[in-house]
Amino acid sequence: MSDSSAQHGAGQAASPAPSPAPSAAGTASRSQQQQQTPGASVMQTPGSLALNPSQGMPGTGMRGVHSSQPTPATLRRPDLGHYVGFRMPHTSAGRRSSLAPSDSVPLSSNEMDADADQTFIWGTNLSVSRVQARFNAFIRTFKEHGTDDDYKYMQLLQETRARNEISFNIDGGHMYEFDRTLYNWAVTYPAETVPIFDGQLAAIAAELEGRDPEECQIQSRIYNLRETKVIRDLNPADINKLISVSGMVTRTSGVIPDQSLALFCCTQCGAEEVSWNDRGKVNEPSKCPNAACQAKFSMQMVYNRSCFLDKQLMKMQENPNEIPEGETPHTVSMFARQDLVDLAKPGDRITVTGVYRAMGVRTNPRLRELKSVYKTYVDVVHIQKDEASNLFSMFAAEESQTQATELEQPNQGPSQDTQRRNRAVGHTQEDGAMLHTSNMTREEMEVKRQVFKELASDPNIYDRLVASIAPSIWQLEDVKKGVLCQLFGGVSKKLPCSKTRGEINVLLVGDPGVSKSQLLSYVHKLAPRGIYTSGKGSSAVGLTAYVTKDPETKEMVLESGALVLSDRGICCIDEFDKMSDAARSMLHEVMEQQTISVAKAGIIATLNARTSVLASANPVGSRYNPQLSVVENIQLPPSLMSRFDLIYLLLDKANEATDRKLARHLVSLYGNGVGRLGNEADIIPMETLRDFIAYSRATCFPTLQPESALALTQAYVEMRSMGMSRKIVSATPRQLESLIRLAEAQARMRLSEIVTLDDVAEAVRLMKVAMQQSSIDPRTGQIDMDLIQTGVSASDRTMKAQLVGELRNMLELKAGPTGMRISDLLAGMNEQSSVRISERDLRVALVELEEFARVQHGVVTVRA
Amino acid sequence: MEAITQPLQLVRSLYAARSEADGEDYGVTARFSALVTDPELGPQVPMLTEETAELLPNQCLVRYRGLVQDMLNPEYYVGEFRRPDGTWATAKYADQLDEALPEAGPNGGATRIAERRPLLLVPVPGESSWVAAPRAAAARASLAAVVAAAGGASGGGAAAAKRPRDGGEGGEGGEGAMSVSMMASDVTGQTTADDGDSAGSRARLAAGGAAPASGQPGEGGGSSSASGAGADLPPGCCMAYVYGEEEVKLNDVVEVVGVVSRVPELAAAHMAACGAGQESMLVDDVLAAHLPTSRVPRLHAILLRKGSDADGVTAAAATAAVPGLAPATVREARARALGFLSQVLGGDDVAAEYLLLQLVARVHHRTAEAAVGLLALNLVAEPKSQVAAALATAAAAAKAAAGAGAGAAPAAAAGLSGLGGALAAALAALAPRCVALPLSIPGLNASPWWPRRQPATQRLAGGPLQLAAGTQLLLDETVMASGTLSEVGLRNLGALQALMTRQRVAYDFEFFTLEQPADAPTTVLSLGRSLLKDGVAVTLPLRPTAPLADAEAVAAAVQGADLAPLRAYLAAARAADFSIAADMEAFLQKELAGARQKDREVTEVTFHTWMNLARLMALSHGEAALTRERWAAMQALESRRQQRLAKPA
Repeated sequence: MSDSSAQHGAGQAASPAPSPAPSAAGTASRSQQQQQTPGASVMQTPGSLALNPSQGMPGTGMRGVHSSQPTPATLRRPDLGHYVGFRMPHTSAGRRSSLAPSDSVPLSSNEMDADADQTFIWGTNLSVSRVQARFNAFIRTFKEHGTDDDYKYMQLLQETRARNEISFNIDGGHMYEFDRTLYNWAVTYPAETVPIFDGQLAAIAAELEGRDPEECQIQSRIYNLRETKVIRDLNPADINKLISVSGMVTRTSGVIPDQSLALFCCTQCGAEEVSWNDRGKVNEPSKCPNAACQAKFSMQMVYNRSCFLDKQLMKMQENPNEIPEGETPHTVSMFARQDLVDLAKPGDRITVTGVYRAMGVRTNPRLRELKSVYKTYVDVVHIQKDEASNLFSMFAAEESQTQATELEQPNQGPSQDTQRRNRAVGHTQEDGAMLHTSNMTREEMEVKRQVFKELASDPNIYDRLVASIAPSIWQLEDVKKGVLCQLFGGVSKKLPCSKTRGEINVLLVGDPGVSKSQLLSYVHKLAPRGIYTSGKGSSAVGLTAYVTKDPETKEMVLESGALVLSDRGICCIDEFDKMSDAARSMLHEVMEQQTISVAKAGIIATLNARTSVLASANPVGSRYNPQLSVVENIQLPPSLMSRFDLIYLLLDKANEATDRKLARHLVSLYGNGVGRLGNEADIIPMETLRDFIAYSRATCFPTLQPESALALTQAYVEMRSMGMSRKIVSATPRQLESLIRLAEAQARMRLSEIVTLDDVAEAVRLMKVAMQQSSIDPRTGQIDMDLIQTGVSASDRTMKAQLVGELRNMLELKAGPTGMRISDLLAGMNEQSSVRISERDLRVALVELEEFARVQHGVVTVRA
Repeated sequence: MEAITQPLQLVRSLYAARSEADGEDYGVTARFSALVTDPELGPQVPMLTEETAELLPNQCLVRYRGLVQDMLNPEYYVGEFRRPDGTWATAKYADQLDEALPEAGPNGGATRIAERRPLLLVPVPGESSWVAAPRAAAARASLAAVVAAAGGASGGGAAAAKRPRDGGEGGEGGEGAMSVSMMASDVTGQTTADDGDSAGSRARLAAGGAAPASGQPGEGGGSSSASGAGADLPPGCCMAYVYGEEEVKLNDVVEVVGVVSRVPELAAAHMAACGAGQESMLVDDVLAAHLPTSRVPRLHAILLRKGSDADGVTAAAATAAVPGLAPATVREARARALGFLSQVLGGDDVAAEYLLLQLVARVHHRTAEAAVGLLALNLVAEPKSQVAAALATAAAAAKAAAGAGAGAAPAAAAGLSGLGGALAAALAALAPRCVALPLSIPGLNASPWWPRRQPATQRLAGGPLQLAAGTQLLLDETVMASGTLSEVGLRNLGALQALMTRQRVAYDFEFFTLEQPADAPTTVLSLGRSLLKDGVAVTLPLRPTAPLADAEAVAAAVQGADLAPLRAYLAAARAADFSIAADMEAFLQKELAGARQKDREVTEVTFHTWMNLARLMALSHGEAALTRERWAAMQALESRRQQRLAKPA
């Protein structure tokens, strides 16, 4: 305590004392400071009213106000409650009474008890002095539970003063823990107790600093009440109570200058009179107060000697998760004042602590008595912003924040003072660093995080994730694993000169009816910012779409731009093979550079399109032809093919067991409404899965350890050498990059920061599985990356060379001057050859022999 | 009768006679329930409709039936207050206090704040004329009695000032009511004189009904300048206040019995708010609930019932039909319905069968991803076929007619093609609610179709996709031409797609959207496969054997036939529950798995379609369980559909 307080004391001494507003009159500036509690309202304390002048309170203006507004004796109630009506003025401008000037308040409760029966809070049996005493005790002696630290709020008070701030946040939980009665008083009579708190804080601060309490203005802001309500749960019983509601800000008004005090000047004699804002009205004196003048209607307001406070009207709507199904969100209006103005912006999710008010509304401005309807609003005491606009960015923001603090820590030096101060600030201030908008409260976030951690630590997490992806599709385990890797994604790396993508692209090729589309639409639903488009008629850019008539089928077709929209998401492209070449060529850039260039009106814009592509294509001729190679089956440009990390070949093999399972599921779904998939226990609900993926992508950035890097290298070398031995190129550097991404995705599934050997092994296995299915050379049965890279396999290449040679021989031998018909040539070649030669192969070979032979009308002649 | 013309007096006398034990409801609900169910007095409670709104005396008891379009912020009001003489008085069910709220005094001045919930009710969208017409007739009939009674009765309380005028109007209004009530019997007799387009007929009636109303000076003055407020609302809507804890949900169809209230001053308040600028943000949600009563009458609900006859079959018919529809009746009704639909579709029996299934579909239950129990149907007029040609000429003709400006067919006016209009008329004739939307580029781009809360008015703007449960939705895509869809248009298509596949509509609340469940069997009519093909489960090319009907022909056919038994049958089939017996389950599993072994084109999606169709097939035969026979019938139907699909390829 002594350590830090000394430092703060010094700091405080150095800093200038809070200076009054320069333009305001003396009385005005002081009263401005006294006006600061938004929730403050009329506190009727007849006893103190009598007390004040006797103690020589300066400021006749204030006294004048009091006397102009006598408390009706009939409205004083000895009992609590049973009071509904216009107790509160509808603006906050009702003043805090000056009954508790801190110098007049004895700080020990013994002394307080002496006059305890003299000063009551209006309408209650609550004596001001008892509130003061208890609050004093709370501030002076509260220690956080379980700590043997300094007195928390004393320290906070010093810090607040040292920072020259006015807001002093009091955790409602602490108050409740310390003194339940005080807490209940604060919640039940906020308009009366809160100003007392302020006065006490000022008094304590003044005592510590040896100043006049008038110079130590502090506003207490209570937050973290025991109950946070939903807007729709507010009811008339809450009126004039301190409440806490959560919601989303939808609208804010501009800053409204709210006159708190008007200074009137007599145009005849120059006499001045101060008038307070009383429940939204400033009474203009009709007569000059100067006894000598007494001129009627001569008073004129002097604007630049009057006081105005910032005021802002905000509207808050219920959070989406708090609205019961089949209802619309409710809204509540709020008034924020002074330093709370502009704290929350539309779209922010906040928890507000404030006083709930009801104000009579005249439906007809001309008739006074139609005040049967009330307008409700909240006078805001405290705003807490507690969320991010979505899970993804929230976690990301938090992560960067913790990283930042970790970085800061060593710089600041491990002084105990700093740490303690950090902690104190973190606990009691508004968590000012978390100024981003948010979607979820802190506790909810914490709960989610726990759920995710638990999920991630499950040893079976991999299997569970696989089972949770499109649970109604059986088999295709490895495809699902690949898609899962894509969802989690690798880590994009920024190298000094370039950057590599972390996104994993997957291509599914297969027969119709093998649930490709289903898998795609499932991923689309699951992925953050997923876009689903059909290859037919999708262009790469644009937010609008064009409806055209397909000239072939006369069907209307929608052309939409998808890729830009799915930045940082997954773009699912169905019927990839039917995509127009122009659109497909765009994908080249997207899939490797992760940008998209748009040329319009002479300007070339490069937009980010950090998207993973999940594409599905039908083989040429709709059904996979096992006789042809994969590349021949797909008919996609090899340059595009090589950009896919994983290419899966889905061949429909009818499996009665899974068909039966599916049938049972559907029948029960339609019969009694409950589907039976048989593996529900392991399935992670879609919502959770989506959040888990978002969380993992936002917070988990696994790195390769030396041993896993070594394993990767080994695997890569192995894959390459496997081909080398048979004179086939089997893997390329692109595959190495893919392997790294896959391994990282594996680690992300466990929320692990380290890529382990197992991850590498699984990545290699996935890669091999995908390659086996897609890159088997139908003739040799070997993995042959050349098929993907160039479209021709190594054995093909040898065979082609052989064929050309044979063909040349045959033409030399048999083709006379009249030449040979191609069909004869084909028959002749097939007689010789061990493998069947197609006419297509033959023609390709003939093209190579162009210099030697000429093809005309199906007849081959040897050039002279 | 006093209770009908002076309900507030009854409430206040009940309040005065209350005992401590009564609590919030001092016998009001019981008393008024008895009144409404009373065979003598019940029918005399007038109905608040667009046409009667202006004629009903202020603060009389009315009935209203509508869709909950929006639920506004709860409102705090002076529930009770103490008079200077120390007695308490209630201000429930009223907008204005008869007496000035007493100033604070030794005895009076105390008030108790209570809470009430405003609901914005609108006429049920797409309600078929055969449901609406009898109500309108009843409304006219009941009006006559009440206006006469109110005119004769001596006024009291706050209404006193208004009485003379009301009385004067009562005389003339009564006369008017007499004449309409005479007309009403005509209307009931020939049910659907002009029912092809009930909205049109309503608009005409509105134009007629507005004439006597122009003599309302209080509102007349303000309404022209304050016409901005509530201008987006459909005519015939009303703001209902709910005092109790009744559970109401968005898009429920509710029937309210309550006290109608007109506050002419509200128009002036709105006018004042227009000029107030920023400060009006504070009260704009209050204003949202206090629209000028010339446009939106206010109704203080004493009784609130969820749409009892939501299916539109008159109560008597429904009770008779639902429990045990005799098999013979069902068979006959089904055959007749099929015949009727087939006539509309130019003798296409298969299409008629599918359309019938649409009519008995509803959401049976929901899973996380989808709604089980209904299918989106795509009726395709194949390009190059004669259907398309007919449509093209019809569209051209309609365009020409529209261009000429006179004599345009109602269907063309609504933007539908000839067949679209005919289908809409046919669906409307059989289903209680049917909304037909033309899908065209300008239509889609023009405005959002999904419901959204407007920041300016703080109210939900409905949009065509805010529908009551069980509304048949017909999308006519044949009017679509090439063009650019804007972002709004795209989102509209997306919303339609979501509705078709998941039966959910995302409501836009500025900073987030909330998905609300919907229940609207959707039929798309298109040339070639629909744009919304991803949402369509069943695509069926039309093969008419006879010329297609147009809207007029359908209207004529409807008029000539007694469709009541058909409607009753469809309502019963729709409402019926459904199950699959254990042995049937085993059979189905074998069937499905076997089908997949045989034909690999059969996928999970096909299974879903089959199961849904089989379910609907059984329901359409009035059976609550699936049998092998129905399964076979479904398979036969599907194979006929597949044949049609295969042909052009």
